[in-house]
Amino acid sequence: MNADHSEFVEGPDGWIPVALSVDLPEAGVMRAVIAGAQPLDLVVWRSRSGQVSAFDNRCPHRGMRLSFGFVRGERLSCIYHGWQYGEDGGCRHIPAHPDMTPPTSICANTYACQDHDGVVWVSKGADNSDDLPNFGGQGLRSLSVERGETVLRKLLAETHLPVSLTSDMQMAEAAIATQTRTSLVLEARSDAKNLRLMVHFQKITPDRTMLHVQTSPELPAELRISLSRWAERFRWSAENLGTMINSWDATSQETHP
Amino acid sequence: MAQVMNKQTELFRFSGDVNKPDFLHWICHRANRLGLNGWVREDVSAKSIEVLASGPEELLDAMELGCSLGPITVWVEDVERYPHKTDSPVPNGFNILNPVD
Amino acid sequence: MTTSDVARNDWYPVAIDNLLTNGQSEVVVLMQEELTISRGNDGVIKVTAQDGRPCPVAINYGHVWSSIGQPDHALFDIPEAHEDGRRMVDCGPVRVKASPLRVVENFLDIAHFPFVHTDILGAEPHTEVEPYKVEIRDTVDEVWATRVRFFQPQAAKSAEEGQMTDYMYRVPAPCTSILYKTCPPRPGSWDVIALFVRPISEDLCDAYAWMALYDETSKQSDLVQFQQMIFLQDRSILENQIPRLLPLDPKMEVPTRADTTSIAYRRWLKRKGMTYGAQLVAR
Repeated sequence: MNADHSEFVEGPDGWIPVALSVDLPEAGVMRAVIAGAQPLDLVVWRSRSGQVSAFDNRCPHRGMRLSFGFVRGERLSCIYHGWQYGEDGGCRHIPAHPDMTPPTSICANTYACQDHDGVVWVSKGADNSDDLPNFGGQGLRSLSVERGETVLRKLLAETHLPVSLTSDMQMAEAAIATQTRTSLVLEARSDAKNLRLMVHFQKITPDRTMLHVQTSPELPAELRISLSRWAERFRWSAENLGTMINSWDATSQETHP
Repeated sequence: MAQVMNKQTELFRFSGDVNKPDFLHWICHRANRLGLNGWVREDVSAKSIEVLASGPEELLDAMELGCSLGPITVWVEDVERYPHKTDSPVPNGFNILNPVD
Repeated sequence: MTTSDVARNDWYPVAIDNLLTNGQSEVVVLMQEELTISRGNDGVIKVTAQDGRPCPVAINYGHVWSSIGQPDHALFDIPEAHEDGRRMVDCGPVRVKASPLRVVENFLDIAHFPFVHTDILGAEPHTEVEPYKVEIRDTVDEVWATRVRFFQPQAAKSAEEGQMTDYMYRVPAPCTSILYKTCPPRPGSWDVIALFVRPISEDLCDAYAWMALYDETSKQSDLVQFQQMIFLQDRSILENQIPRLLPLDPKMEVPTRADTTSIAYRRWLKRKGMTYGAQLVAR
């Protein structure tokens, strides 16, 4: 396996994409795992008013994973004993002792978190607004692929994208327009103007990556459906080509159902 | 804070197999976690640990409870608690004081 | 990973007595060791370890009990099991990917009722845990929690509306917890619900619920189903607590007065040296 062990050891740095904004609606709670020398197990949640936050996925009370919790207004509630936390991680309410105001020192371990350009980003460090992309994309889907990030970037550089409004099978060569630490943008000549695909990489393990895929805005629905199917096929190819990766080409992928 | 809570100050005495340096740091960490003010010190001759803590009653209870288990190196056999009357308020923060003989 | 003598030399449930028929045998794992439980045609049950050595056997409370070591004490007594008029119900084992000690600790906890067993054993806004009494009874070497009260919207299968329910908890062995609770049809009596846990490894176990109830009307299958439903709700918690072992150092946690039974249980385990399934240094 062509695993990205070097990146795994280096660990995450800066902002990491953890979800498409559309997949974390108001009052939504999800788990996010980020690879690293010490992998992070996080809960990412959005309050009723739309604020996103990320904590260690471990209730300070008795260690329950907070990703099983639920949102009440502007607070995340643990499913075990109902302890409530604000977006700053501070405990706001302990149901077993309802008359007590918890001290700010009882708090979940927090990470910087922001909703930017249709993607929810998390950073281990402080608020280091370094190089977040501004693609103006529209969320297509997130998918988990049993492959390391480096391999996937390489495969994407060689991919063909569906480009026709009328045929799912009509493909065109895609070119990488931009490539950053977290993301890459593919472009292809298409019936539709400016067919671009933005892929954001979230390393889960050395051999597993979450891809958060956006398209350029205002693409026809038919094309977005074709691109969604393409993403499925891309995953299938990436996971099944095994050691044949070097001889992989886009035409073999087109013959898969 | 949503409401003003009644703070009180109490003196705790933890006895048993407790005279281990890591216990003092452990107690300090716990007090900071609970937002309590006060201090901890070793009472060498009494083979015990004295803690002065100031805060809401529920958090003083939590302090006693956490410290009654403590780190694996200690065994707390007994905990005594007394109200502590003082004219001067307990300063902010939580410190390790020099041991008393 | 060493198995402490305290853990080795205790009794654990290995089978349900009346499910093992004459001439039949089954294999279970107790603390990473395979045991064969067999009932001869004479009805006598034998437990044999993988290396052929015979293991001690006790039969009580509907279960077959055994040990990979040599218990120096008899199996704990549950006096209520001998009382007339009680129905004994075996609920069968449930596999849990968590430390057996975590399973027992959760069984001692009431504050989770409104959130984990919502509208069954608890309901908001009735979340307050009033002070209760917890002690390690040195004469019998058991943990007891008494004068525990909590609001329950449906306290048992036979209860139809909400009420304040009284509880007592008893821990007679590290992997056994017994709960006494108000018995709706017989005020003044206690229903008894026990959880017997067999450690398979330090972070995997089978939990057997057993009940001795004053309930002459409910169908057996309904009683079992109710208890199974409750336990499956607990399991989703137990398999998602970090760490999987039970911390004997609570540095990474914030226990409050509502957790008094949990802390007393952990102190008791620490004093006994029962470290199988426990985490010693907080991480």
